[in-house]
Amino acid sequence: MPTTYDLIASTTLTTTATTISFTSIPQTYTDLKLICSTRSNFGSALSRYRLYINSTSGAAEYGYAAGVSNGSTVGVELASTGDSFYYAMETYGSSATANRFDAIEFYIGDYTNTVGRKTLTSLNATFNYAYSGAGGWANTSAITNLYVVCGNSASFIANSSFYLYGIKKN
Amino acid sequence: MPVTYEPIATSSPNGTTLVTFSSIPATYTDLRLVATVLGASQGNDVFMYFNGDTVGTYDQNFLTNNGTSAYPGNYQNTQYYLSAPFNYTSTNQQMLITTDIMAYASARHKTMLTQVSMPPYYSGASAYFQTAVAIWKSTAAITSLTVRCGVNFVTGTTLTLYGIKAA
Repeated sequence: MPTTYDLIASTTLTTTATTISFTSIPQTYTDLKLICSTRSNFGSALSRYRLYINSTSGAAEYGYAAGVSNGSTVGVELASTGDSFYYAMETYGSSATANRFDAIEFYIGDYTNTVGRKTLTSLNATFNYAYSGAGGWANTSAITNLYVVCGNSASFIANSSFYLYGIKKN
Repeated sequence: MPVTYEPIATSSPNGTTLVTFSSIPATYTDLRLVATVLGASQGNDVFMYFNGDTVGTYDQNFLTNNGTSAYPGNYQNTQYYLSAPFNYTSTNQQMLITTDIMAYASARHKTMLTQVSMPPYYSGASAYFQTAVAIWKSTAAITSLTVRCGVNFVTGTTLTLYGIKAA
């Protein structure tokens, strides 16, 4: 039985970093899964972050929609007019309780196709928030690069980790 | 390293509304269905059912964001497990559906967790999102899984059923 779930690349930070890059992603899998555990140095309890595909300076080709619960109310995040990145997630900032790192999982289907627009789902959890989101990239290029960028002009801190897996259907 | 995530079967349908994975082995802990779907036209739904059971034994709760507003909902005693409405799909847009089916071979009612994503249907539009939890109120082990589309699947559609082992 072949291995269907391969680790393509991983990074665990030893110092701060604003952008985590996965480049030259092999085109030999069916789907991609990116799992991150992060915390930022933004001076608040929460900090936003973003996912870019192929370039961090792309056009407003991303759409997303998410359900958000903060434990007492349900809210909405969405890009109703298109955005230049995929956003549906929070991580902890520097004033959050020590030792807390968020968890997020992105699943990107059929990332090598050059016909359909790309779709992805995400699940994000912090102590304060739960996000369940979905989105798409309105571009027919195959996905070769992924960039995770810390928002709020802040950086991810040491011990934040990022794992990119390739999933084969056969 | 043991293999814990195995493809059981893959289908790439074209010109049919039904895909059935049958004779599913009972040797895994959970199942995961990953589908990237293209349909012949808009405005139809994608459904799922197990063991040919369409007599009304599915319950589900869901949260949807259609790009304009978010809303909760639930269905009870339905004939199918509704995966997703297919509203925006056209020839170059794939819908992504992931469904985890827990303890599928057990003698308990089965629990499913589904996420659905549809891309912006034109550059600048919002995406569609749905998260759903559901149960199939049957104690039978799942041996077949059928995915039905309201219109024909077309080329570019791929459905893969994975088996997941706990160890």
